[in-house]
Amino acid sequence: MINEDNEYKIFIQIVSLMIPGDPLKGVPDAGSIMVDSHFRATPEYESLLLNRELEKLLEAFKIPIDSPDINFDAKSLFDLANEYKHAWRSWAKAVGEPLIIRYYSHPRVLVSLGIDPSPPAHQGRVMAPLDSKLLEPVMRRKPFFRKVTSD
Amino acid sequence: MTKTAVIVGAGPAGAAVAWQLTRTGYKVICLEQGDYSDVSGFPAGSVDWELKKLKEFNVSPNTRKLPADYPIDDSESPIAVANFNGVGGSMVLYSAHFPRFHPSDFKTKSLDGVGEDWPFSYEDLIEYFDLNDAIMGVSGLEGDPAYPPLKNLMPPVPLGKLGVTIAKGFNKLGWHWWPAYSAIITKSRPNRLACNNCGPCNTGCVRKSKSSPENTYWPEAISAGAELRVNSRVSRIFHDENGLVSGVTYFDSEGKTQNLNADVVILAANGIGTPRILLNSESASYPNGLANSSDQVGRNLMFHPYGYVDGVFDEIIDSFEGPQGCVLLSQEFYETDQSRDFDRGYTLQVLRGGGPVETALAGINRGLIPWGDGHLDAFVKRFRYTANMVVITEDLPDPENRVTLHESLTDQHGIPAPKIHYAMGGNTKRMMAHGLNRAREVMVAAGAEKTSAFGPVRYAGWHLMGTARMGADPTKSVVNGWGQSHDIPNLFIADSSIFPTSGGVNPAPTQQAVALRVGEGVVRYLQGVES
Repeated sequence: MINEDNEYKIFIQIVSLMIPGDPLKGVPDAGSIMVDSHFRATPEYESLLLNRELEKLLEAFKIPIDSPDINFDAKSLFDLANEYKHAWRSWAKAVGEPLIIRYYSHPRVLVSLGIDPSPPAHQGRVMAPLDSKLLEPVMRRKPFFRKVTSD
Repeated sequence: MTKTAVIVGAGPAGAAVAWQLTRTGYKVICLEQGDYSDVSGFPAGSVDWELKKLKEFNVSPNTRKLPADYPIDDSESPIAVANFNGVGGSMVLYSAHFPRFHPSDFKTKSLDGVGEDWPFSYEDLIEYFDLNDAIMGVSGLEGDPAYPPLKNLMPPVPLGKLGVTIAKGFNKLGWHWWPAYSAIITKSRPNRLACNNCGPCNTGCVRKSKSSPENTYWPEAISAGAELRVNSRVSRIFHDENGLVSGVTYFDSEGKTQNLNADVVILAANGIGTPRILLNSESASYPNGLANSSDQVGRNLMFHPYGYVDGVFDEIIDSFEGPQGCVLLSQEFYETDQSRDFDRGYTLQVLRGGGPVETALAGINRGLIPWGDGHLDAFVKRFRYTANMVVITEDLPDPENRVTLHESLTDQHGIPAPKIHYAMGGNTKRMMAHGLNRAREVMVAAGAEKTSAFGPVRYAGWHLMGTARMGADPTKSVVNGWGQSHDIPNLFIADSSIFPTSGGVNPAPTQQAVALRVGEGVVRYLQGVES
């Protein structure tokens, strides 16, 4: 019998290593964002469970999913990923999109990366108008579109 | 009694025809399978805008699967169809890049021995181009040596740091570039705010700065008397015993079948939807579908295969700041050059980067952003330091590239889905290779440390042309130069399915100019009938 709490713990551990964050710059890792956004309660996580994505990965890694002491670090995880490329690719394909969407739309991540998290249309941007000097070389050219007799 | 014109489709072409016809006093009814968009619900007004862009505002109808959408089997095509079904059509989600076709685009057969000549010239279309620009609202800059003179443009959208960087690269090579022609207003108009450079135009514009039929043509046409029936999907066009079309059958908003009589029918359902309806309207008199005695309905599908190039710079270039699709374009390689190994040419269009989610997903999928150590650094590099450019290649007509009706797949009303049969031709492949290499040269000249390229881009099948082409010869074309069916004089087609060739630029302004001209053709026809 799979312990779902344990499975979720392993899931969080792995995604935290996939996007590790940067504590010095205050950028959170993906695990904390998935917890923060209640990913466990989403249809996307349910779909991962239904498709046994984590089980299949751990099976490939030859690690029993109910083992209480699974504790990956970056080196051990990516060494295994390198060794079992096919299984890792399947896992990353299944997890990648929901992970990226949650992570890169989370206000805490955006702010830590210097990106304004408010709706784009509300912010707008002040941008410099065209400096026509830049166009001078082009403006010096004669018209070069192809003339057509009837025109 | 007032004659009734029924228009199928409320996108760029249908709106222009409706506007044209309402000025002459004819009764106009437009049937649109989608609905009005709630402007306040466009993604750019929400914090989760990128999620919406991936789902209900996805460019693929096969992903959106909204009630207004019908499935399209593009599984055997390297390019997937991109569209939007609703009032405004695909312009609701377009990037508003708005360059015109060139004079040579109308005479490719005469000039280069490829494609087909159009039954009219660039010069014949100028008045419609200008009228369309005035109604829509277009920004850009006059004096472009790549074009005949243009006028009445609003100030161009800003280049931004990204645009300035790339422009310097073009200058270094001595190649043409010009600020983008954009269907974006940079000065406010009644009920429309000037662009605030927020970025994601291609998810719908909350401020109505992006010029689109629902905020330009339609308000005027409706106030002049046009009736627009939304959530109304046309399945067939029916005809009388003389072979003239006499109306359309459609499913109304409750899914009930309705027949609507018409004196003239104008199709404006795009390069996929229009042949679908014609082919689905077969009868004993027209066993191969309506207007299809030439067997050209559905054939000659042209897409504009896109090549994609990016360059990573060593300084921040604010990749994501400004209107996403409108920075600058180059037409250095637009016209045929006998020294190259392909006919015709292409446009280089500089794009701004996507949002954080789009950037990260693309980076992961292309293997440019790793998982684990280095992930964040690679993301930041792609988000802030990367410039993008696309190669818009001219696609030549090929009768084997076509739309047919699917044998088993249908929409929710049981109407057969379209199936796409498409392969890139050798000329287009050589052109794309040339364009990708030139675009990389620009990136390097502009200072890029690294470049990468690929093509064709799969989800870029926006430009749907050629599937009911116009021409003077009824054995080789579906409609004449006024969009009028050779077979059935009271059946017209106004969308880009009638383009004989594709040009090498985005077709939107040319499509609308042609639609205004078709509108005039409809008026002439109706006046002729009356007299």
